Amino acid sequence: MADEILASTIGDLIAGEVMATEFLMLLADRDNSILTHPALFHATGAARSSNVVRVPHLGLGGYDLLSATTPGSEVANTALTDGSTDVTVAPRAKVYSVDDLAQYIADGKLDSMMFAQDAAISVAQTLISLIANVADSFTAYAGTSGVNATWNDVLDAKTTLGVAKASGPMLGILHPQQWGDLELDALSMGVLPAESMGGVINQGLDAFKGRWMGIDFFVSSAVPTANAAADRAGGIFTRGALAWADVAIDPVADPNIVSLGRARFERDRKGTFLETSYVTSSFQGVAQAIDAAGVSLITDNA
Amino acid sequence: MAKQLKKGASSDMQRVTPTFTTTDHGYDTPHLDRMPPFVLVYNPRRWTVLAGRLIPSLHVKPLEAGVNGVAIARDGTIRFATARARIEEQGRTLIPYEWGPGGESYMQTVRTRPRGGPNEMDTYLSVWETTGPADPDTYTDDDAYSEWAESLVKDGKVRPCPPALARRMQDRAARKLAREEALAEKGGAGSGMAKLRAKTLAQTVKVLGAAATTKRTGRGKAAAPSLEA
Repeated sequence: MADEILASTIGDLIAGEVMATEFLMLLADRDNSILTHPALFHATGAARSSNVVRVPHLGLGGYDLLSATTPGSEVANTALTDGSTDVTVAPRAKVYSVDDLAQYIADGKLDSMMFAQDAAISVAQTLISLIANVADSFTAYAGTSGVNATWNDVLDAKTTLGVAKASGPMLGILHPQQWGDLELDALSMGVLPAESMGGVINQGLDAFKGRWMGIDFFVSSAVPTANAAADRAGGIFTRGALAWADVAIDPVADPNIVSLGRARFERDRKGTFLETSYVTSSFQGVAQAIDAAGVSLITDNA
Repeated sequence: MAKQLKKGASSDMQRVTPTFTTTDHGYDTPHLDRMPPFVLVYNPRRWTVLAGRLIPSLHVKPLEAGVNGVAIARDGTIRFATARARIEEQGRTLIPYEWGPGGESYMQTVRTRPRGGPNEMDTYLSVWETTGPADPDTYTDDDAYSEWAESLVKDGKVRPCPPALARRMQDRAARKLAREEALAEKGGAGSGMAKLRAKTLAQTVKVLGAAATTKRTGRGKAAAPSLEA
């Protein structure tokens, strides 16, 4: 038999590829639930007169105890302890520019909604990456250089916070490698793999890993390295360890500019180039605040 | 488009190879995530044992706009005065770049394409890290870094670890070592990892022991309050 009609012989009648109606998102940190954690201090500027927000530290509310007095002697003044943290807010932005034809043939995958969704996620993840970058700033630390993270280290960190008189909800930000080491350590302490499979230990691959030892754990790939990248420096914090600030974006009467509350998403049409740009911008800042309210968790990076 | 390789014997004949379109995934470039430039900061209360040496556990301060008071000026230079003041207020010491190995910077820049994407950019690493094409990781020369960090103390650039602190660290490391040795002896799941941890911790305890037994310093004045007879 010859001249059968085969798929390979009708190239002029068919498309090389046909797009699936679904698509895959490339891998990225996307879970932003950490930003609502009460241990993170969100500083709000009282006026619009500076890019620096000063957060006062006040030694009242039981900071100093009463001293024993000597009968007949005047009571000496107690010096008020105070301090402050300055959070410098800096602009950050990104732009995607799309050619008209590319946008048309992408069939909805590159429309305004997709870029708006990207804007909301990336603004939050940018802030998380800034927060993670402060994790190595604390004097107190737990863990051993070159040794995988263990729950012993977590308890060391928690104890250190307790000794420092820290209180309130605790937040742990770890690198996924550190969390993986903790999961392994949990198994070595007798937790059965079956429990792990059932989600008792693992919380899948979402950023939030559950509350363990009273600490809410999150992971972020933005957690920095330490000791020339031999280690990772995550951290465990209570409220006051770090402060972040941003700028509330005012709405404007322009349908091409959308306020996302803490960010701006803008559609910028360039007709002469037959293209549209999508601009996402935000003003964010993070700073270490009370040194003793945080503990860096420095453990092996591999 | 065909590419000419070499002219043949006859002038009207040419050897050619076709030029194919390709997608550039940047396999000749590292795939590291972008890390901002940084400065190292000495904190007299932070120490660690790495590669058999007791060294200061230096803070890595990112020079990232919006982090700890850092901002970027219009000409692209880094505004660091606020961050520097904060570092000094906290009793910490900025490690100048020229204190790096050989009098050169301890930071290097590498071109990267994060996750193999199309955006090529600079990332900043310490000079003790190496990476390779299409590699998302860096590899640390622990020994060289540790030797350099120890030299900061030996050369008198930063103060040594207080013996009392070394003793406290040794106590903690010894407790951890006991736990890991017990886990390793018990056998079963995780005992292999416990052995590995115990090996490093044993070295840590030994190194800290040497530092903790040096002469004690920093004692206070003798105090003897009056007690009622």
